[in-house]
Amino acid sequence: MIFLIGLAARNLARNLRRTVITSVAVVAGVAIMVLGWGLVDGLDDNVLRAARTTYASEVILRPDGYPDDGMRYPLDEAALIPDSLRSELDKTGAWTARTVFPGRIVRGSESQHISVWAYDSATETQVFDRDGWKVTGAWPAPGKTEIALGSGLARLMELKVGDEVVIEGRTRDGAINALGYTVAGIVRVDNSSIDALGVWMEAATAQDLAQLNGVRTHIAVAPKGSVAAAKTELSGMGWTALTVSEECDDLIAMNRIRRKSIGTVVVMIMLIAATGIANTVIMATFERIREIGTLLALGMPRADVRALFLLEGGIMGLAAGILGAAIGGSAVLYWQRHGIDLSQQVDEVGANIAMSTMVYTHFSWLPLLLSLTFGVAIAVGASLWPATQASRIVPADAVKAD
Amino acid sequence: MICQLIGATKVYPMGDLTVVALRGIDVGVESGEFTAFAGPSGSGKSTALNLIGCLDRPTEGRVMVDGRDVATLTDGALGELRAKRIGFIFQSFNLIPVLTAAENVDLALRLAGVTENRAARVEKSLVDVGLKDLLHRRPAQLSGGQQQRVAIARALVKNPAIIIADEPTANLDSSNGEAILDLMREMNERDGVTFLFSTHDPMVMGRARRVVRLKDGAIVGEERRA
Ligand SMILES: Nc1ncnc2c1ncn2[C@@H]1O[C@H](COP(=O)(O)OP(=O)(O)OP(=O)(O)O)[C@@H](O)[C@H]1O
Ligand SMILES: [Mg+2]
Repeated sequence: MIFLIGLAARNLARNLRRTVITSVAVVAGVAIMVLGWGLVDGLDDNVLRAARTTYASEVILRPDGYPDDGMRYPLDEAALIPDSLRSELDKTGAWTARTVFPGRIVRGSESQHISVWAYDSATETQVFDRDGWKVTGAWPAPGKTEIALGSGLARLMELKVGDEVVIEGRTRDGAINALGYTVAGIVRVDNSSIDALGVWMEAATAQDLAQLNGVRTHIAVAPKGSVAAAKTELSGMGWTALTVSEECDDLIAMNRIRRKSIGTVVVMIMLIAATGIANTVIMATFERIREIGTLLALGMPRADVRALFLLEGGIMGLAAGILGAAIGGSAVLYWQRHGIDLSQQVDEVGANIAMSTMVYTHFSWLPLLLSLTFGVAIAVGASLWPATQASRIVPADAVKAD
Repeated sequence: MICQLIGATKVYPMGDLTVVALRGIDVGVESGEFTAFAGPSGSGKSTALNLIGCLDRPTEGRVMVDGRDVATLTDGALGELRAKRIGFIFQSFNLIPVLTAAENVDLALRLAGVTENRAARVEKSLVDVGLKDLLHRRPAQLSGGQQQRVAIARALVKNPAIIIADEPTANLDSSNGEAILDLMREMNERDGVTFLFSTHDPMVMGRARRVVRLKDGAIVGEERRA
């Protein structure tokens, strides 16, 4: 067997050009599979990370019936937090409540639709790690008419720290208010949907603007114990609880579709690769009929002749697979470390997706091993027919072939 | 008797027609012979050698090797028989291009199931054919005459009962061809190696100690010389 492997390797090396050209498709297929997989896994992580670090923590509660699409924030649907829930929340762990409501920001003749994120700074920092956010300037000081702007919004409106703006809001009874604020800071929480259109202010400050009177739209909980248990305990008190992974279901389902389409592309590339390999092995058997005849004449078993050509296909698949996995794997590792920074693109098109602009690919061995196995299987499969044909030659005719 | 054809007939299908390449010939080869099959092109020389060498099976009649009817053997057993008992020298040398001279010779030993002392045997047989300095050359780096010497070493190394050579000199110029024949004859005389070959060439026929003449698939004459 070792002898056959050596012989197969030498035959491949002898036709290096053809071997390389044939292998390119396998290299590409495997690399794309590994990279695509790492990217989609990374997107899953990204979606979860964006939700976890910017608005949901581990469990998010919204008033029953409140939309959870992350696009609309109707103040009508906001609700008070009942005392029963409050005490359950205290038992569960750290929590903070926010009220998100629509508004407009006005500066001179320009205005822009926004979402106001009213928070309670006392509890906010117990749930969210503000150090992980990028703040230029400062957070609004309690008691002052100050706001912080999402980084995308600041760029869009060309606003700087210290600028004066007017925010329009609508109270729950429909009265419109317009108040002046100073921009204290510009914040990037790294969740595009918040950074693009969000305006941050203390809940107490928002009272004047929207007459909140204690109603809230979101409660983010960081439970001490299990997330699932927290979710159960917090349910059924007028608010609907979702774990962060349930919260991200829709986006992760989209990633599943992405994964499927990558799979389709990979399968197509691999089919092209299979045709190429089959073609190359067929050519090799035709070119080497005399050699096959000689091996048979010298008494090599037919099974070994077949194995020789299977090995030639298989080694080609393995080498190409290893190369493809190495290329794809290194790319995944690199972007896992350094991340792909989409902030420029996202800010420019003003994309409004609940995900981070830093995409970190996710390295795992599974896609590497799977794609490698897939590559080798495709290569061996494609060599099966030509190798079998080659082993059936009548040696008397074959030794004289030219 | 090492090998024997008894009433051997070979018919090749050619589309709807058939070609009768051998018409029931009887011929045998004894140990130590140096025998040539002679005859015009298409007379059936190669076909007869292929049957004796167990590279093909007869349509009718029997092929006996070592007193055994090879019709009873499976393809696998036939391969083993070739590997151990029959050496081949081909018109176009048929060395494995990716293997060196020594590796080509070693391949024959390996396939014959020899595990011991291979390197020494390989070297000895290549020295015997006058290639002691070219052990590690690939076929492409050897002349035709040198390649055929490697082929002889490859046939010889496993001490086969018979070496079958179908027109071994046809792809060589006359001086190289003569040298190859001399080498074969020397081995026959010195070590008693049995050779059976075919040829068109009167020079080659002249070296044979027994010439079997074929025509249209039948034996039409036979000569023996001292
Ligand atoms: N594989 C084959 N298929 C069909 N016909 C064949 C085949 N091999 C040989 N023949 C035919 O059988 C006959 C004998 O051929 P063979 O090769 O034995 O002749 P030969 O004496 O070796 O000729 P040459 O001196 O040209 O090599 C010829 O008519 C040839 O055309
Ligand atoms: Mg012939």
